[in-house]
Amino acid sequence: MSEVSIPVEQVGLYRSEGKIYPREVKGRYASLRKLAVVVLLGLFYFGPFLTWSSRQAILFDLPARKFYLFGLTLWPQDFLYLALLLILAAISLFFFTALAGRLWCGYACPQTVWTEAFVWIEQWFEGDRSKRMKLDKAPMSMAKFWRKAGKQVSWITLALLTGFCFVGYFYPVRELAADMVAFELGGWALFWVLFYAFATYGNAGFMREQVCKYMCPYARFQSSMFDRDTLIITYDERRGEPRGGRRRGTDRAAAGIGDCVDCTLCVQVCPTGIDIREGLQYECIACAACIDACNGVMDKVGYDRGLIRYSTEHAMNGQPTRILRLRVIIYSLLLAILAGLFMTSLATRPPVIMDVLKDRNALYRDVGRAGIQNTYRLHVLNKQSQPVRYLLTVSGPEGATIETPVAIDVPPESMVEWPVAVNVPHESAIGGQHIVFSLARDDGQVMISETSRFRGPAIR
Amino acid sequence: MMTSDDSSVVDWSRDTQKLAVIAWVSFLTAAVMTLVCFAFVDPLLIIDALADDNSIGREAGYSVGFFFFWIGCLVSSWLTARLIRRKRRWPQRVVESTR
Repeated sequence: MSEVSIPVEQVGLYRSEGKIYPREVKGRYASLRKLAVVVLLGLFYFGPFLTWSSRQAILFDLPARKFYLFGLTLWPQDFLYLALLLILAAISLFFFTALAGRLWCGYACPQTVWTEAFVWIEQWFEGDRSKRMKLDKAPMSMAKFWRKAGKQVSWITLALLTGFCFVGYFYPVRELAADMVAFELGGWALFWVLFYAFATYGNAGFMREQVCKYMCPYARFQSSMFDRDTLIITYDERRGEPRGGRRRGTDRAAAGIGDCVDCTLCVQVCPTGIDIREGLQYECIACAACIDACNGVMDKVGYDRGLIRYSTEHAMNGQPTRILRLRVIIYSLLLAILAGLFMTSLATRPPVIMDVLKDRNALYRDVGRAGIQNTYRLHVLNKQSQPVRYLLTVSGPEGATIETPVAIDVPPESMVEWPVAVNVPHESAIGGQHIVFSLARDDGQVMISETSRFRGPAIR
Repeated sequence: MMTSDDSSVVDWSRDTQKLAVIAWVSFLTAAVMTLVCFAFVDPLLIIDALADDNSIGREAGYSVGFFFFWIGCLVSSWLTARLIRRKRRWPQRVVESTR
C-alpha cells in the first residue's frame, strides 16, 4: 500500500535552509515574516544611530530628563504626549486584533522577531531539525563543540549588541560606544546593557514561544477583542474531514475522505506545538507556519491550497463576513479622537519650556545682610523661530529677590542654561519651601511658571 | 506529542509556569509604574530626601526605583498565586472529561 509520501524534512518555517526542494519551502507567510524581522531589527539596531540636526534623532535622555523624537523635544512636563502616544499604540493593537487577529504576535512582537533571529543563527551553525537532533545525540567531538560554541558566541554577541542598542535609546549612544570601547562604561549603563542582553538571550534563545504560551498577558486577553468576523488562522474542517492517508489518485468522494492527508506537518511546524485542526486555541500566535506547510502539501498532492488559511468564523460557516462592526467602529472612533487630541495639543504647546534645577552642590548659602541664597540652573527652551527676550520673576518665600540679571535672550529654537541666584531675607528663609519661577515674554505676557524648592536653615 | 523542531523547547511544569508568569507580569507592571512615577517625579528629589550624597545620579534613581517596584509586584503576585491556590487538586479524570 503506497501512501502519498510526504517528505517530512522539506516544509517548515524553521527549516527553510539547505533543503532539497527550496521552492516548496518558501511559503508566502514565512517570507512575509522574514521581511518583517529584517525591517524591524534594522529599525531597532540603526535607530540610536540616526541623527537629526546634529543630535541623536531618537533619544530618551533619562539622565537629562529630555526626550528627543526627531524634530520634537519633549520634557517631563510633556508626559501627556507620551501617555497619549502609548494609549494610541494600545488602541491600535486592539483595532488590528479585532480586524485581523494576532498580526502583532505573528509578525511584529519583539519576542517573535528575536526568536526568529536566534533560530536563524541556530540553523546556520547546527543545520536543520534532523541535523540538530542528530548533533544533540552525538557524543562530544571537535565538530560538535565548534558548532555549539559558534552558536553560543553568536547568540551572546547578538544579545550584547541588542542590550547596547537598547540602552542607546536612553543614553547618548556615541558616548556609550566610546565608553564601552574604552571599558569605562559606568555602573548603571553597563548593568542595563547586560540585563537586557541576558533577557534577550533567555527569551529568544531558550524560552521562545513558551513566553507566548504561558507568560504573555496579551495572549490571554486577545480573545476578548475577537469576534466571529476576526481574521484567524483556521482549518477548514468541512473540507478536510474525515482526514486520513490515501493512495495517489484516490477518488475522495467515493472513498468518503476529506482533503486532509493527515501528514501532521501543520503540527510539526507549529512553534507552540498545537494542532490547528482542533480549532482556534489561545496558544496560536498566528505565525501561519501551518498555512505554509499545508499549502506545500496541497500542491504536492494536487489539491487546492487553503485547507488551512486566514479566514473568519463566519466565513467558515458559510455566512458573510462583515468588516465594519460596532467593535471596529468604536476602536476606530477612539483612535481618531485620540489622534486628533494628540495632534492638536502638540500643535498648541506653549512656545517656551522652562526647567528649574536646584543646584545640588550647596543646599543654601548665608550671604550676610542679603539673607539666604539658593542657586538654580534654569533651562529655557525657546521653541519659536525668532529670538525672544524673557523676563524672570520669583514668588513664594516672602521678600525673595533675584540677585542675578532677570532678563535673558534666547536664540530661536534653542535652549540656554541660565544660572540664577535667589536671595531671601533671614526671617522668611526657614526650612524648605516652594518657590515659583515665572517667565514672561518681554511684551509682559506671563507665559509659564515652574515650581522648585528654596531651602534655608532649619528653625533656630 | 509532536513538538516543534527545537529540542530546547519543552513544555514547562506548573511551577515553572507560575514562576515565569509572576516574574514577567510583575516586570511589565513595574516598567509601567516606573514610567509613570518618574515622569512626574525627578528621582533626584527622592535621592535628596533620602541621602545627602550628590554623587548619586538620576540613573541610579531610575534603576533602584524600577527594582523597588518589581520586587513589590513580585511579592504581591507570588502571595496572590499562593493564596488563591485550590485546596485540593481535581481528580485527573474529572479534568479530562471536562475538556
